Amino acid sequence: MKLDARQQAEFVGEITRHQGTLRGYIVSLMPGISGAGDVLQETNLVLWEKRHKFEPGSNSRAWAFAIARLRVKMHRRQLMRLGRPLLDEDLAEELAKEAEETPEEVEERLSALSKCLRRLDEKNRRLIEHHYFSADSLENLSASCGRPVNSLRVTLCRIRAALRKCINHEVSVSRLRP
Amino acid sequence: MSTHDLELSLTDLFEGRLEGEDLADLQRELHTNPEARLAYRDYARLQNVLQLRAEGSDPMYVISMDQVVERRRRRYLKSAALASAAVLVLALIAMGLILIRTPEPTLAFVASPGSEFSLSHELAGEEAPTGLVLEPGSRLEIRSGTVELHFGSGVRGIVRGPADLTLRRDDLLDLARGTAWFHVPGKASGFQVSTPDLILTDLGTEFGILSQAEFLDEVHVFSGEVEITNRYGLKRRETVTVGQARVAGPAGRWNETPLREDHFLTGLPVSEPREFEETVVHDDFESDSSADYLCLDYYRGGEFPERFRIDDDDNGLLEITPGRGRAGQVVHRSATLEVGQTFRMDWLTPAQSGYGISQVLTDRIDQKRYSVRLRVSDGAYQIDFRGDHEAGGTMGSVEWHNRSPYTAPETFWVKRMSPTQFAWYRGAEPTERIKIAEITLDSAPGPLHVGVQAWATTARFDNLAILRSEDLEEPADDRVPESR
Repeated sequence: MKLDARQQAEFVGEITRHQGTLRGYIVSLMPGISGAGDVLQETNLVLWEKRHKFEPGSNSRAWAFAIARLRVKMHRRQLMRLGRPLLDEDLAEELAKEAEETPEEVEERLSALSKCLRRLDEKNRRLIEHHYFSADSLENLSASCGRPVNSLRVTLCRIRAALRKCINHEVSVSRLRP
Repeated sequence: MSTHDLELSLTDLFEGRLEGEDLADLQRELHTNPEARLAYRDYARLQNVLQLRAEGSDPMYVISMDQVVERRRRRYLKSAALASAAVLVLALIAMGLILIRTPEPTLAFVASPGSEFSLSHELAGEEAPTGLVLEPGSRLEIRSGTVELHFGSGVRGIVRGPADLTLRRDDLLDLARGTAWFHVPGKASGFQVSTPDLILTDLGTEFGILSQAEFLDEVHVFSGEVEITNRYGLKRRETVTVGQARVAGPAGRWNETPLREDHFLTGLPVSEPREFEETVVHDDFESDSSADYLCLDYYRGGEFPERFRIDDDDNGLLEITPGRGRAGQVVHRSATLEVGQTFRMDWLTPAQSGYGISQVLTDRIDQKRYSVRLRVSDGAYQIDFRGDHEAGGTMGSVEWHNRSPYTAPETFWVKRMSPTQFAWYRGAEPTERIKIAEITLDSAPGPLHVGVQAWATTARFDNLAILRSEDLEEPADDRVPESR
């Protein structure tokens, strides 16, 4: 079925609406593997190529997730051929299923993250911002700040645990608002 | 797998650093433990938003607290508009009792002398509140000191720092952390306080809430009754009445805990809080200082040097691995706890069934003995005297103050108030410590070396310190003009 202009706009709107959640789903399927953004783009391309199958009012999220899951599988196969250690297939499937059942509210979490980052002390906030926002490896970070890699690793773990708790709290509180 | 190990493994996994046996261990845990999968999903979500934020072209401009504090030190009153959030930040240091009332603010507050806090508002421009008031969306972060809250509805509260609170509505306060007491008149019944672990709805009463980052939150009711709902697991709802106290259970239940009136202030302190004057000994274990310590096989006797490591593989920690059914005790060869000093230590290992972790004070570092041992077993606090295990019988007495369950990581403090009197605290910072117990020895043991013990588990510690404070009075108590 060929989509008319209005249906195409609706299709693009649907896909755009799911971008954050879709990305979260992809990240949860490929922990520690870079390229979640690339897989998302590949997924979007496939969705666009198959747009003629889109039925307005259908469950576009489930469809997008199914395609993302296949793209991640292909990505995993490439990495396995390169000998990269990955979560085993069964577990990845189980986690994918659970992630699909509990989609995240990305906007809510991004807003909570901003608040929670502000609550970190400056030293910790700088550390996590430098690490994630500059995508610097722990080894480089260790060399630049003169702290052992393991010490940074433990500190990052603590900061992430604090952020995780804080974000969950913020999300819960925001749902209390009228 | 312990919570700490799980979190470390998940961090490594999402960093792309987990492989081999460690990866296999985590996979086993994820296969069998639904809680671990829940944590996994949380980490994946965190990773996603961190990456999204990192990819964004405009990471939110943030004014650091330290910059704010520095401004306060210069006694400037400054405001700064945050570009993307349109947040107005006012930072003040209260040099005396200050109370500014604007026409019918939702919430006005007063700060005790020496309090450090910052106040931010969601409302900007002409709509932004002025003075020490909060309107919905305003956030008050108390770095140190105490503030008194006056709601337009008649609710009065006393909040001890460190604390972080945000006013959501005129009848809903979000307490991210802090120790708070509230009196709610009948006309304001229905007032709510939300914390990371619970939602409390007042039913016309007087109550206290304890909320700290690494502890499950507590509710203490001094008159009337409140309704509390756990945020997690079973999300149990319970009505708590006068004279009762509850601590949030990790599975979403409520557990009884002793009513602690002494934790809560009902009025502002009149003098500034005191900090420690001097650090006498400090070891952050960032280099191998093992020569400063002696490790004993606590059950079989004799030295046990191979069973402890400091900064092994650059981990910056003290680690004891006594082995199955055995106990290792590591004592500093020269650091002793004198009157007026406090022995502080960070414990990083969660308590598990059948395992024990302790902080010890001993008069002989090379013998299987201690004068007093402050122990956590199965998450519960215990205090042992040498006499408990020797023919002479007990050598002291204990007065318990708070025995809420232990959760790692935790900082413990042992203060020596006199040759025979000690107090044991927990809490991340000096000003937010909670007293666990007071201990009185039957006779003065003289110099006491400080150390730690682990039984049947690998235990990790960090930041051993001995600190000195100028006076010998209890810091929490003598700052309290009027206590519950």
